[in-house]
Amino acid sequence: MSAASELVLCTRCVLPTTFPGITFDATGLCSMCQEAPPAPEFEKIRGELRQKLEAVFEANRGKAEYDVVVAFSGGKDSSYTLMMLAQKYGLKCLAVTIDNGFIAEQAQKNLRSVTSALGIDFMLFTPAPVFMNKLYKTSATTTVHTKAALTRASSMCNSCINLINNHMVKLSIEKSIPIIAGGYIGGQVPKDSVIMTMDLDVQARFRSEAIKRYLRNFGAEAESYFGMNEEMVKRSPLRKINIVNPMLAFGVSEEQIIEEIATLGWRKTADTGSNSTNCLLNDLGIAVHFKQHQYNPYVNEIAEQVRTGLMSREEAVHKVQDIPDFSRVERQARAIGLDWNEV
Amino acid sequence: MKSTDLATETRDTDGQMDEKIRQYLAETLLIEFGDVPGATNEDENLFESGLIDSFGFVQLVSFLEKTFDIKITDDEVMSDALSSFAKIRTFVETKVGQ
Repeated sequence: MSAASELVLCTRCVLPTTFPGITFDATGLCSMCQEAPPAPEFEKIRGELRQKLEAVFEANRGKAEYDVVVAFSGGKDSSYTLMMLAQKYGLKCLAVTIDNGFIAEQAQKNLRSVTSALGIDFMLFTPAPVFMNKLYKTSATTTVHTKAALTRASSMCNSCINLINNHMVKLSIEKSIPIIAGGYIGGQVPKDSVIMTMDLDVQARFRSEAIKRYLRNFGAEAESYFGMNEEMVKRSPLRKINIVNPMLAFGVSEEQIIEEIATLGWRKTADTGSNSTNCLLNDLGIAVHFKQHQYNPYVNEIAEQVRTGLMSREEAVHKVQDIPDFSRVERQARAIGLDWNEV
Repeated sequence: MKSTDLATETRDTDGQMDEKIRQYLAETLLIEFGDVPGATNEDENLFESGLIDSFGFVQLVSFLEKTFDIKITDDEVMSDALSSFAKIRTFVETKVGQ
């Protein structure tokens, strides 16, 4: 296995030659950068996306108890998303956090400070730790997700994200909330996912395939977390849900985000590695992914930040080369019962 | 610009459509067909094989609509018309010909 510092990276962004589905030209420029416009043009694109977002917000404002349910991890991006939706757009937000058992102590404080400062309702859902540990361990040792999904996040993160997404859809249906917002940034989700419309009837076919996969990999308990009460879906007056990822339209750097959310009492964690601001398990996911795929699972989003002018290449190189060795993640591996030799 | 992003100004031949779909699936969804190691069979159900998820499907529908200037209805999305590479190709050829 190559060390992260030995990988050949794109000369504009930082995608390595080990990243799937891309090619490089003679100058070392990756195919994604060859197709991308210059960084300044992204602001025009983001401006158009913000207008579309505002139209979705206006069309759905005041229709239910809450305008939007926000998947709120307490990390910097979802904190900023929540702040913008509540303060700038004046939406009535319900912030929802899934406690995976590995939320850093400072991040737990941040959950309370941010929601309290914004004066919005907050729900915490804690899935059974025994199930979450099984989910993480299985995700680290088995093929659960598509190859495309693994270019956006580690297998462990993908499993957690899918559980969170399913919980948000359930809440949206239960409370007829017309919008679900995530704090995902460019590279973490497909490029056209700033606004997606989920037709509940159309999605039924994917739910049935997805649940089979989760039951096969995570056991019968997965039904509670990845399943959906289809009777409840049928009875719901909501037939379509708007899934939005506003960060794709905001265009703010990490420094700006941290500066702005600091006004809400948000403080950076010191124990979650260089790519997370909430999860103690994140570095383990990175180490496992690098061992299996020879690239940092955050490289796609980091490369996108560089390409769109929101991060310097120098900082990006530092981030993508920070692959924790096993000694740094041994404690987390033990916590989920993972033997490094199984990875 | 990706060839897959090109607007179809003149009607593609069946061979060009095949190539555009094949290239999109390989580059964006990382599903390869043809004479390469680990290639997927063209008749294989992409959902049952776990090769495409709901995100991927939304992307695929959007790609097909933009690239071939077609409108895919909810009924078509809910049917099996887009479940394998062979079915996607047949579906696009039929829609474009309508």
